[in-house]
Amino acid sequence: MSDIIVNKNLPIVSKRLGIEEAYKLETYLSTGGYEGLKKALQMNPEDVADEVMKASLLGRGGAGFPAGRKWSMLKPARVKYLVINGDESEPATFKDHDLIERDPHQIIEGVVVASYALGVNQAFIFCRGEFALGLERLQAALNEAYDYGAVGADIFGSGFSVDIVVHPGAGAYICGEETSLLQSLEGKRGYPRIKPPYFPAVMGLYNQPTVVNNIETVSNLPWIVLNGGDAFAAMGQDSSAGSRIFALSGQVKRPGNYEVEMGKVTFRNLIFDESYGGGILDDLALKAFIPGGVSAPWFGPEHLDLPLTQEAIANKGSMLGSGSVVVFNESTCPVKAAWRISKFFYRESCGQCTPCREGSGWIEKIMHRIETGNGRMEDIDLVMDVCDNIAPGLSWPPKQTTICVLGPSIPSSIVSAVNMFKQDFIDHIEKGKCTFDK
Amino acid sequence: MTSSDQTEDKVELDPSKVKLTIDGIEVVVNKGELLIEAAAKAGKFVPRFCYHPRMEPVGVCRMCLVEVDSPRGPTLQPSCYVPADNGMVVNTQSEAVKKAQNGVLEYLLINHPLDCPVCDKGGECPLQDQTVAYGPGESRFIEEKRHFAKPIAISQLVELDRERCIQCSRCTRFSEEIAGEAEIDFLGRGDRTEVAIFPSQPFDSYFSGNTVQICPVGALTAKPYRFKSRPWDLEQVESTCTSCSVGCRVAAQSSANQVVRYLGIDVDEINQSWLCDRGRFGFESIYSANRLQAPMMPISGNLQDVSWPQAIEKVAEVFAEHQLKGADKIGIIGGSRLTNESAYAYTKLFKGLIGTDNVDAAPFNLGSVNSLYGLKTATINEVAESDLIITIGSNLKETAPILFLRIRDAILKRDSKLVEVGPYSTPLSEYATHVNINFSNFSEVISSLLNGGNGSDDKQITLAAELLKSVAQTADANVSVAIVYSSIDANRPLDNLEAALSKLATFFSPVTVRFLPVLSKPNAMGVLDMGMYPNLLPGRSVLSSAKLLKEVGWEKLPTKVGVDATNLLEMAAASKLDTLVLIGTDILTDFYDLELAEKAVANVKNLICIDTHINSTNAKATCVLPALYDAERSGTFTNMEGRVSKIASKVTGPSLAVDDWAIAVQIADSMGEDMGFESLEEIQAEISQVAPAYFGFSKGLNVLGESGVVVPMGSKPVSIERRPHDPIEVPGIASTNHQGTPLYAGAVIPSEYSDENTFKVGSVSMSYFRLVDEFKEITLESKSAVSSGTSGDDKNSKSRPADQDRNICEMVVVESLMDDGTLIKSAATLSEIKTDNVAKISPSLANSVGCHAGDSIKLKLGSAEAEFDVVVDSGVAENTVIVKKLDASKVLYGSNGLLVEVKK
Repeated sequence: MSDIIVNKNLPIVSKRLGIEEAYKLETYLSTGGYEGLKKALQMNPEDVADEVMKASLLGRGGAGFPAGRKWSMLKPARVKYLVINGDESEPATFKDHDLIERDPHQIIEGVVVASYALGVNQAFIFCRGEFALGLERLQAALNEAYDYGAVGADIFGSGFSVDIVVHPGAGAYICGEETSLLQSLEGKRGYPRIKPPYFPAVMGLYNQPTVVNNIETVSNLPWIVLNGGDAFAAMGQDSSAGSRIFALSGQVKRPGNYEVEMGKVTFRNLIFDESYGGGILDDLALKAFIPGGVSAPWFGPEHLDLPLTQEAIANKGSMLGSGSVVVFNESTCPVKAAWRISKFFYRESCGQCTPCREGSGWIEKIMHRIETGNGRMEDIDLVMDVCDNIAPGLSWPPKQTTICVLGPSIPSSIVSAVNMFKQDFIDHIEKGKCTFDK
Repeated sequence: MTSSDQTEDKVELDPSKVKLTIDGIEVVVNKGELLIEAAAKAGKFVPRFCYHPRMEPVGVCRMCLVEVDSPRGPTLQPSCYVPADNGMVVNTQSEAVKKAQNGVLEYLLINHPLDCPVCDKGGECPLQDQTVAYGPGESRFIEEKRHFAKPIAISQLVELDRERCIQCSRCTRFSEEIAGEAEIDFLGRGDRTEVAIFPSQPFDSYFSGNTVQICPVGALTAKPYRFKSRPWDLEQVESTCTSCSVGCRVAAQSSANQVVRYLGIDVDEINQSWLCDRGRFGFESIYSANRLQAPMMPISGNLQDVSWPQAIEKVAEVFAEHQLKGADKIGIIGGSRLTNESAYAYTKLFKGLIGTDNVDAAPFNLGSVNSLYGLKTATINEVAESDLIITIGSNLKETAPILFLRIRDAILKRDSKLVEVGPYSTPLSEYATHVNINFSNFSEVISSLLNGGNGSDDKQITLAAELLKSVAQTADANVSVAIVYSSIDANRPLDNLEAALSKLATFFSPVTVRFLPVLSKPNAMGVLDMGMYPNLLPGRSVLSSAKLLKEVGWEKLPTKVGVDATNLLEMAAASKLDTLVLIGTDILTDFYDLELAEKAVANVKNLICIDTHINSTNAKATCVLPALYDAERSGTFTNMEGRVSKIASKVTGPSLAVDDWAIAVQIADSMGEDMGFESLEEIQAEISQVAPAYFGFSKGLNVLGESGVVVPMGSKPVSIERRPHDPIEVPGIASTNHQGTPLYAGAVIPSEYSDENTFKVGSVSMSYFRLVDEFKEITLESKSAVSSGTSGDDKNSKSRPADQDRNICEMVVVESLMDDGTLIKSAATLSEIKTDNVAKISPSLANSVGCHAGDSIKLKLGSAEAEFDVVVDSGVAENTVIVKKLDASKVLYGSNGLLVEVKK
């Protein structure tokens, strides 16, 4: 079915995911590992940062902010930190999981490159606590890297030193939000900080300027240094440069992580091509899909031909987010799907600010009632208005009455489900049961 | 709120101001001021829950969202969190704002029980009030609310109802940010978040009541008030707390003529809305079963109720005899619980009409009054604004809790440096350079501190000395130093304290040095100001300067300086004193030499006690007169700064109890004398007429600014900008709009009494209210601990402070806030709080005794022995043992001095 020409550079970040024991230093070195770092250390730190700027590498954590620009905003200070966000815990998002478990050295190499470019001597990798195997391998890799001289004092004789600490999270989705992550790293409750003034680049970890980068973002750095920022920027489309991993899940035949060149692939390619998703499970019709994780508004089949770029998706009222694509086939109950997603946010709301703390639970309760056949017709408007009080206007990108973006993430799936499948809601209410139950 | 043309020009000139528009009204506010406060200046109230003006904003409740124009259009922003900036356009009333407010309130109520009819907060509840004003009429929530077991006691004083909690974090932030004790925190997340204590660690903060006061719902309640009243039945007056010498401003609230609650008032100069639990809950003592209900006299050996005429006649008879002959055979001890007016009345009775100067109301650990009146006094605000703060003596958290909070705040927010010269580690030690002292090494330590640490191998002394030197070397008159001082011991003065203070005053010149005394009895400053001390007369003058008093009827002024408390008791013990008058002092439990006190009580002919509660001393009296107590009496109070503020009555006391000044007047009447006044106002008028330090109150003391007036008054008016207060915390405090501006500051004071006089201590020129003997530079001499004892057992050896074989140590008896004195013992709830009976020793002593933290040790002094739990504290000097002044340690007080043997 596919007629895409796969870029010769691909795969970049995922190239070792298929290699046996790539998490070991030996394998890593035999596949070109730490060459990017060695090259970076020969360059001026500013030049390394320049290459990243030229690469137009967009952050892979969800917001899609250009990494080079983020770095350039770091406030000069004697003490500054680099923190890597490995707290990947949103349902359907599992790209960093693979990178951590299968290619931890690439992350470490990226961290050292970034630290060198930023002049940082202390970096942290905040890794989701539930990644037991990932944590084990990451720590083992870090130990190996220290022994190898790639981390620690006077790296490869360059005179540059950086220490890296792997810190396990304690099981809270909110700690994937960068300011909560910093709070948690400081040993405090994982509560988001208010921006302004707490922009990490100015007032970050321990109130020092801090860069927070995603696992996949830094995993790209060794390649960018080796091949040049221009080579990276030459791939992709518009401002969405290079390639990225899409975590495909839901009712597709071949779920998994696929690294594709940005903009050269459409959702249709990703979901239906044999080399990617391979089509809808049970060969049923596609009902809808979430283009960028459960925080993102849903798309219907009419959006299948959108190219995978940030702009294209944003223009149609959703987001690429963390690159998680979730497919619903026609057997999926949209009410149940939206309820399940709302239940996740309810469980994970940190409780710091009122609208999210109380609203998330209320939305979950209303959705549960509708799904289980106990809804009232007015509940449809009610749930929309409860959502509106978290994200006024229910527009995209959302406005918010909350401190952080977890709050306005909650309405996305609810509003999508109501707008796209209102009849299903009405059927649930009228029939007094879930109409998809067999 | 100004929008006139002239101001506009000013704004451009003044970089500390910004101009913005709020709801179409242009306002000029300080740069950095929060929008919620800027809105108040525009006359717009923004509803709020989590915001408290005395704490860092957190912006979590989202109630105060307002619309702020931005390049991307108006956005909702928490007005408690966003600082005002030039050109901002803010809308507090837009549809978006109203919908957000409505939404937040509806959210808050989905899990908040509607048990308002049985909730103590109902009727004064910000959640209720703001729901009515800004919220939905009805909830659309039809599901089951969240449930928790309710209420749970999180301390002896505080109960927590987690269902009512709206997670505003005011209480948890107070505990951590203001009190510095994170004993409560959130547990769980989302709408299951609950305030919790740590496992098996109760919320035993001295400041726990503040969390109840600032809770915007009924989640935290205090036992003394639970189910006592409905807010609409409350009446309140603004008064002054008299549980220590800080003099916090309080709202005393009553219902059905019974005091039910004290709340702290936000007065910038003093307590900034906080109170300690002793001050807040101590009022329960007025309803104690031990309260004196009627005059009593022994009838066939037992104290029995008598009528006032009977009692007064008896007392007048005794006093009249002394008036005729033998004015030196009567002595008066105590009085620091009195109002200034009552103290003046007693002083006039004893000194002016009977003619004795044997009056000593000073705390037993004061030493002399020279430093109080001779040194330049710091206000609490001046201490908080100092670059260097030196505390000498007691643990402020125990003796002046709110001063402790203020100093802690100054260190954290202003980065003031702190040198703590004290007998053990305190909660301030972590921010301070702590220097260990005891009685015997004090002079030596101060000398080393002033000599750059020379001659000391103590690293802390060297560090502190360097800090002192660096401040002195700035030689900058804009740099200021505050010295907060007291004795280290609850019972005895610190020898050489005065000399040390004079040395310190000289040392820093020309850097400004100010002193703040921490007096260990509540109105000690006021009653001394009223002359209740040998050689003193009202207004900080001395016997030789009695000119003014004679004009108002002080006919029998003594010429001979009187005898102090210790000597009076010795006279009584030796049957050389006929009459002992005790005013609010229970010498049989409180005096440091209990043997002496017992002998005195046994041997004195007439023991007249004027008290509020029955105690062990007045049980042996020949006449007991019942007096009114806080919330039942009116008058004024003078705190450690010299700040005069009002004490107001709210309820009537026991029907036969009488205010002290009226007791004095009745006695004088019965003696056939005329005091010259019959009302409080007349006393106040007389004080401001004849007491030099109290000159300048043109309408008498009764009219004071709500934050009081510091005496002696300066000749320049003082104006202080009003700070925002928390409108949802103490509703109906009338003074909030007037605080900060002493009404009568700026009054003209005759130059002979003015504070403009300067004098010199060493080479330092200082100004002070000079009517007492000049505060002279005194040489620091080493004195041994034993000399502090009254009839010291010198065999214990001066030259041998420690006996390595027997572990002979110097004992320091320190004050604790929750002691077992009359106030705590008589207050129903506070009396249940257990105080730990500990002895603090240095690591080296622990080593030599062979004990560890948590072990128990025995202290032996003469034949007395007492057992304590060991706390090992590196802030304790070697060969020193610190015990609290509690019943358990009282067996050790006596004439045997301070050297105790420490045994396992």
